Amino acid sequence: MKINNAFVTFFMQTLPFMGATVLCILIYFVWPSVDHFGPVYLNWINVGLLFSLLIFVLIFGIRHFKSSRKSSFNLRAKLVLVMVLMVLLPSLILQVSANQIINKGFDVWFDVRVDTLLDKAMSLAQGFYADIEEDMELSLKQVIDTHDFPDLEPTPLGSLVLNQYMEKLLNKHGWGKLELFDASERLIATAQKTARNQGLDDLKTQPVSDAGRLSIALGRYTIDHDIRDDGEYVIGYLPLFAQRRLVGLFRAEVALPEEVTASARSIEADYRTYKELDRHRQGIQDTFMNTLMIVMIFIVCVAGFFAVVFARRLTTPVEELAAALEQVKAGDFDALVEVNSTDELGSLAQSFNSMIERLKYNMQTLTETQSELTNALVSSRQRQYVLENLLANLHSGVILLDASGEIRLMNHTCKALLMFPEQGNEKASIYDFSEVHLKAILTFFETLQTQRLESLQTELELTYGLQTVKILARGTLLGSEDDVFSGWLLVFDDITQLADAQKHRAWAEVAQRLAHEIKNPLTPIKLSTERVKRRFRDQVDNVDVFDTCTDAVINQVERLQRLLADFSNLATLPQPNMETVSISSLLQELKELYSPYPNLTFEGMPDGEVFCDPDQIRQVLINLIDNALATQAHVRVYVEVTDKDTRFYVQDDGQGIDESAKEHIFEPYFSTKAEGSGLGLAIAQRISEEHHGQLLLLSAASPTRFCMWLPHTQPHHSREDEA
Amino acid sequence: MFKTLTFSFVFLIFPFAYAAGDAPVEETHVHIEKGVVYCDVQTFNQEAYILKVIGSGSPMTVFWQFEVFQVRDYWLDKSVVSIRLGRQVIPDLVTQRWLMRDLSGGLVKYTSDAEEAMRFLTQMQHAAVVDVSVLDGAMNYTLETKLFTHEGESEDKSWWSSMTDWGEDMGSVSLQLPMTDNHEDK
Repeated sequence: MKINNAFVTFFMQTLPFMGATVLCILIYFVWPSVDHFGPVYLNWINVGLLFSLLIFVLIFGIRHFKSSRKSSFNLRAKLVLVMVLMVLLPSLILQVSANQIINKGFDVWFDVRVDTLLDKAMSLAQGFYADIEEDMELSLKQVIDTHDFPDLEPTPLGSLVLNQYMEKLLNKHGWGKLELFDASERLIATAQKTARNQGLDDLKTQPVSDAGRLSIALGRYTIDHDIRDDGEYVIGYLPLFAQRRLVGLFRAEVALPEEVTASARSIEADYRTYKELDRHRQGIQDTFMNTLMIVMIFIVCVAGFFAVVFARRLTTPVEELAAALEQVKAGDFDALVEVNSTDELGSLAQSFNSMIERLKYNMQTLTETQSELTNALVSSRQRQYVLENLLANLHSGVILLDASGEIRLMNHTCKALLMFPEQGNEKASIYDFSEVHLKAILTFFETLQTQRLESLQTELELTYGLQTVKILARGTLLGSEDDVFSGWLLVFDDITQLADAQKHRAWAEVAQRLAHEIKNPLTPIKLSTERVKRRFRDQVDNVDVFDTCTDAVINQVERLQRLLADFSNLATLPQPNMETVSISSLLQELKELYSPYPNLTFEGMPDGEVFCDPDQIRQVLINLIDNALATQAHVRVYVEVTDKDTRFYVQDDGQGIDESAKEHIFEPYFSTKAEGSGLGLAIAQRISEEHHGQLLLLSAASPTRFCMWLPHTQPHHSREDEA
Repeated sequence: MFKTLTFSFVFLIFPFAYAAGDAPVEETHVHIEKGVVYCDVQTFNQEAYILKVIGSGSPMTVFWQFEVFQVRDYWLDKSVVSIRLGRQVIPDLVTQRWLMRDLSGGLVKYTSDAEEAMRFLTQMQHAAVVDVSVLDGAMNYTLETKLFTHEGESEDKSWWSSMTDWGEDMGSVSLQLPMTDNHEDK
């Protein structure tokens, strides 16, 4: 199919040039030859017309070749071609037929029988003239042979003898007129037959012709032929000699019958015309052919002109439509075509215009919608971006589920909060929560789903390995079944610290109340016991027992009071009042405080500062030093300042701490001393932690060494928490 | 370019192609007598045609055109003299006579010999072309002769005939002017 299309395209492109070649060949044949017979202008008209046609075809061909890619031009070319062919083909057939008819006609006209007939007719006419001339010759010969003409010299002019002689010759030979000239070509005598209607003009004498002079010169008779207005004559000249001297010249003439001469001349004219036509037979044929060709070319030119005009009128709206379509294709919807007619093309143009207007309106609407959608999309993306950032930075875990439980959204906090395993932490659905510690989440969702609750809130405890997390789970139903989107939003908050804090707070409140309730009666007990001892010591029998008992009561009450004070401190430990404190000043205070203890040494006083509550830190150090001094061994206190923290060491050379006591040494109410409350190290550790530091037992064996390290700077979130 | 080729093809090549097929057969002689250049010229390739025409009774008219050109090196040759001599034969088939008429001199003569009438047309003897005094002896001249033939008694004087009938070229003869004779004649 492609080859056929290419062939058709090539044929259409080269067709005008092939036509031009044919026209050139036609011009060659039409060009008039040198021996041309007939009107040459017919050939030149043909040449002119063919050449005009050639120029037109070439221009058309070149334009067609250049614009062959334009479909409209192809259409126009095809229309013109078809219309011209519609005229050209019948004209060609007519031309060929006419040529054949003309050839046949010429063969009939110039038939050999006609030729023979004309030749015979011509011979007949010539024979008639020849017979007359022969008669004249014979007559003149007889005149010569008889020698009976009178002596002219002595005979006077107009003499009866001469007249009678000439009249005799006239009658004898049947001549119409006989004239006698002397040697000087002067008329001497005349004899002629009278005829009807003959006037004086007919008596006029004709001068001697060249034939007469020739007869004089030759000395013999000559025959001449004279054509006059009144007819044709055969004239015979006979010179008369006397003693070899020219004495006269007879001129005898015979008038040819007018009917015969007319017929003979008619035959001659026809013969001449026939021969002329026969000789120029080819030229005449050419004339007919040229005339026909002129008509044909003229018809083709006229047809071509009307074809071009018609094709232009027909294809111009199509071209305009095509151009408008190209503009529309390029995005220009203002391309409207003119409606110049009311026919199908006009209707087509009108439909096109209305279609373009609708298309333009639709396109405008579409553009506006697209703009709105783009803005909405941008806004949505912005919201999504904000939401994603919000969710990413949110401390709560968020899961967005659709109606089928598929996870549409889940932030990282949720993954960390729910302690997703490293392997396979990508969950596509809530039903993929197959891990044991996530069963509670799944159960929570199923409760929400099966009971069709709009919202649900509960506390869950997830245990994964050794880690236990308390979370507050909240679920909310999003949308309804009729909405575009329906699903659930699950939000999880880590409330482990909050629960611990609440628990601590509750316990602290309980302890504080309990201590208060216990502490209140202790003072009256102690005072009463001391009063009893003072008042009734003298009245008792056994003073020792009495003293022992009252002292025991007083001592135990005091111990209970100390115990309650520590307990109260542990429960109501205030928030540290942080400030920058010089390490050396802090140690110097302690050194002065413990100056009475010789076995206590403070090693080194490093420069530098520590950010802490000096009272609480001092309490921790005192607690540690007191425990160390209780061993009665040598105690060393020294400080190490690093880039990140400050480390306070308290070391004693005592017996050390048992392995069994080592594990519980920081637990409240654990003490190795009989009168210890067991809260000192617990409080010390808590103060260290409140300062974002740590209290560690570095060495339980002798020498026993505790280390409290405090960071140089406060963590950022601590300040935020404070704020 | 294309138009040039087309015009050349149509208007130049075609006429030359025609001319090439009709090589003239003629005989032209020039002689100078008493200061006058005479030309004797005869065509042979027209004899049969003319004999056929006058033999079939059609009148025939011929014109002999003699034109003297001054030869120039860098320009077209300049026409110095141009004369045109006409002859005519009118047949009378009934009486089998041919009237020979010299259109230039007015001489009329009958002959009963068709070939004589034909030679009357195809030969031009002793035609006086130009007086030598008109010519410059220092220049070169050529004599070009053309024969125009017409069937009929009158010449076709239509404008297209003059445009298209370029005549039959009888050849070009160089005129050798003898300086001494020329001066003596003068």
